[in-house]
Amino acid sequence: MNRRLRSSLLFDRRSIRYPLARLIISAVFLSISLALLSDAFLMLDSVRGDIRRTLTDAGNAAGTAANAAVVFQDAKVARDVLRMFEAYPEVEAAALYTKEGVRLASYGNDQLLPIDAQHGVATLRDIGLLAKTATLSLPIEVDNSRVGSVYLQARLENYWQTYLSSMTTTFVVALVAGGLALILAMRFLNRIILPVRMLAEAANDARLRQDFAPRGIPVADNEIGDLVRNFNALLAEVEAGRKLLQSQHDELEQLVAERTAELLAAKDSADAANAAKSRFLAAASHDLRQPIHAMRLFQETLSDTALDDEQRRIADYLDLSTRNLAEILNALLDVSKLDGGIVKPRIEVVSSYSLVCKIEAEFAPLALAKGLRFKLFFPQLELMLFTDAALLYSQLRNFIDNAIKYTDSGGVLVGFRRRRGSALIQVWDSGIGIAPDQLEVIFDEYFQADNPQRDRAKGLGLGLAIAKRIGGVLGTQLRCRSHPAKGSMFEIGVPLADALQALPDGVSSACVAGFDASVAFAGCHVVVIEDDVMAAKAIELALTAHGLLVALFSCAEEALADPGLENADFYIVDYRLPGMNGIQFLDEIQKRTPRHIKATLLTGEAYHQLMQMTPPLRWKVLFKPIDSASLIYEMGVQNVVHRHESSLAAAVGRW
Amino acid sequence: MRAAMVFNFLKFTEFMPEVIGKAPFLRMCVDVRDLRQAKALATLAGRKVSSREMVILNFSAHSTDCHVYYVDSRQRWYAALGHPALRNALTISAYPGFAREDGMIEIAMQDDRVRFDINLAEGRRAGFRFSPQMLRLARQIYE
Repeated sequence: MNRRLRSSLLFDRRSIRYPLARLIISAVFLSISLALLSDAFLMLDSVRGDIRRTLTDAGNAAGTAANAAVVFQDAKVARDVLRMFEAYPEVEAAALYTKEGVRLASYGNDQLLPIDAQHGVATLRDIGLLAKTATLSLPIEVDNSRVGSVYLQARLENYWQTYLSSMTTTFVVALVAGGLALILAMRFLNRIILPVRMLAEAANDARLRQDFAPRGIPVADNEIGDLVRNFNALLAEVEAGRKLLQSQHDELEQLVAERTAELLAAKDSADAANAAKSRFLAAASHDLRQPIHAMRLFQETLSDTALDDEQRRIADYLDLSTRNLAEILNALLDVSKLDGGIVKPRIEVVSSYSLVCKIEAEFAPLALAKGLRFKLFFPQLELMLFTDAALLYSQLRNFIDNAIKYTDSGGVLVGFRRRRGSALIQVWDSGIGIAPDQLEVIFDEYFQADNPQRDRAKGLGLGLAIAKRIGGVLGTQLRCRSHPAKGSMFEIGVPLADALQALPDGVSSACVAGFDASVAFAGCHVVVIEDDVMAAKAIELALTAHGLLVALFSCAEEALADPGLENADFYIVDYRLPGMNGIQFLDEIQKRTPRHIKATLLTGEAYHQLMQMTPPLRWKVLFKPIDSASLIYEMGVQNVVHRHESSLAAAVGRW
Repeated sequence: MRAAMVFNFLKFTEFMPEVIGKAPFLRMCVDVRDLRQAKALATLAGRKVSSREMVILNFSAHSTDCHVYYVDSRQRWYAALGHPALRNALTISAYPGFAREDGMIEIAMQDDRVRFDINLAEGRRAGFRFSPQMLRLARQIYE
């Protein structure tokens, strides 16, 4: 490991060893260079000093020894004195000069000597590096007075040889010392970098392999050792933390699994309860609708009979009570269905004009009866809404119904307008208005402004709650602005469909206001199939009161056995029958005759239940309880459609 | 020339302190008959030997404390011998035989060159120390 690391570190330019090694090599090189340079200068100075000292001493010695000879101008003795330079092999020539400058005696090569002392002035101050020779002229003094001079010239190669060999030795020693210093520095670097590198690899290894076992990195008892020991301690802590975390994670997962199981069980239980509630709701719906349906038909039939004033008053109260009861039941069932998420919107392209027609047909008479102005405002270019027509109309019904209820003077305005990519439908009234602090609670169940006595004539207080829930289902925005005693405005934002993609509106867009049932149905033959005796009787009475001829059957099979069945003008069939159900019965009749039969299904089931049970319906469905007016209205609608289609076909034929 | 020689002898002769004492001058007594020679020696007056100025005096029976004595003839030398003023004087002369006759430095001409003899014993007796370099130049040394 260490050997491998060492070899990898040696060539790894990323390693800190590389710059440190460069630094150390540079420092060693610089130190050696400086040492060599200073040594060279010092030695040069020393050599120069040696030359200067040696030659000066020799010159002085000769001068002193020959001073008397110079004074007394004894050339022989002077020459004898100069022979002393034989002890100085570097001196190649020397001479003694008298006070007057005359050469008295010479030694060595005379040609190197100046003829007289005037030309022999020389000093040793400027001995150049590796200069070949040096000359020196010294005065000879006796009793502090100059009596002559000594001149000498010396060869310096011996000095420089010594100098160069000494420098070479120094250089070699410096090189060896530098090499040793480098080796020691590298070993020192290894002692620092190797554990650090091993530590870095261990950290990387721990991170990549998630292996937090302490690493056995050999270190001394120093700062690096502290680092490794702390690293191992850190690894141990991380490992402990990881284990703790894993343990907590496992516990948490187990807890989540348990809780999930509990939640699934709770969900199953809730689903079961919801299913039970739905079943109960369906049963309650069917079972409650039937008697209320019968009650209403009986009451209406009773009202059409000859009654005295007291009986008429009682019949009117009975009518009011049954209407309220039906209304309460419908509202409660609507809330229940919306809360249970049972209602699924069927988004389609809806013409604003069809909505306007329906609104006018339903609410204009009500407003007129209350002495209110009722105005509809809509743009000339028809708005094509992208929504569920039935649910949107239900919302609007609640708003318009409230507006008429809570407005005693003035009027109600329903407006459609385009606003960017959506349509705004606004319902304005000049009614009692809503206090600002109540604007937040008007959409709560059973909240009614200005109706603390719970006057049933002002409704149940469920209208806005239902509207809010429908808004949630449709994803539409509801807004309300109001000023007490001045009026209110309710607004719905509805997405717009592309007008070019708008489809021709269907039957529902037909405006049927002003339909006269007594004229349309006189002598019409109606087949009614209803297994509930009371309900069947009530329908029979209601229809005969409008001049219709009624054939009543308790089951489909009985009706199918009747030979004149296919000739009936209209079929009113309960969906839930013993044996064949109402849809199957109508389908069977339609098979028997080529003409398009007119019929309506009656059912006590909730809408969604019926949709779950049957394929898409081709028959109009009315949900119980139903009053005779709705029944007659539906029959009228289908008759008008029939006439409309016939006249359209005639027009196309003329073209 | 003799005057220069005399002055050079003085340069290479060390006067012992007990001889010269604290005298501020170096007294040179001249005992010559030739006036020109006396004048030549008188040119040494004022020159310094061992930091002392030389004073040139004519030697007579009344002379005292001569540090240097120059005589030109054996006759005068014999006449002055024993004179108290010469008791510690460096004696110099140019007549032949002076060094053998208790004189200290005898100037001689040989082969057209000026040479000299030194009576080292007499010089030591009188407390003088002669420079080795000068002794090396001497033609004859009497010990």
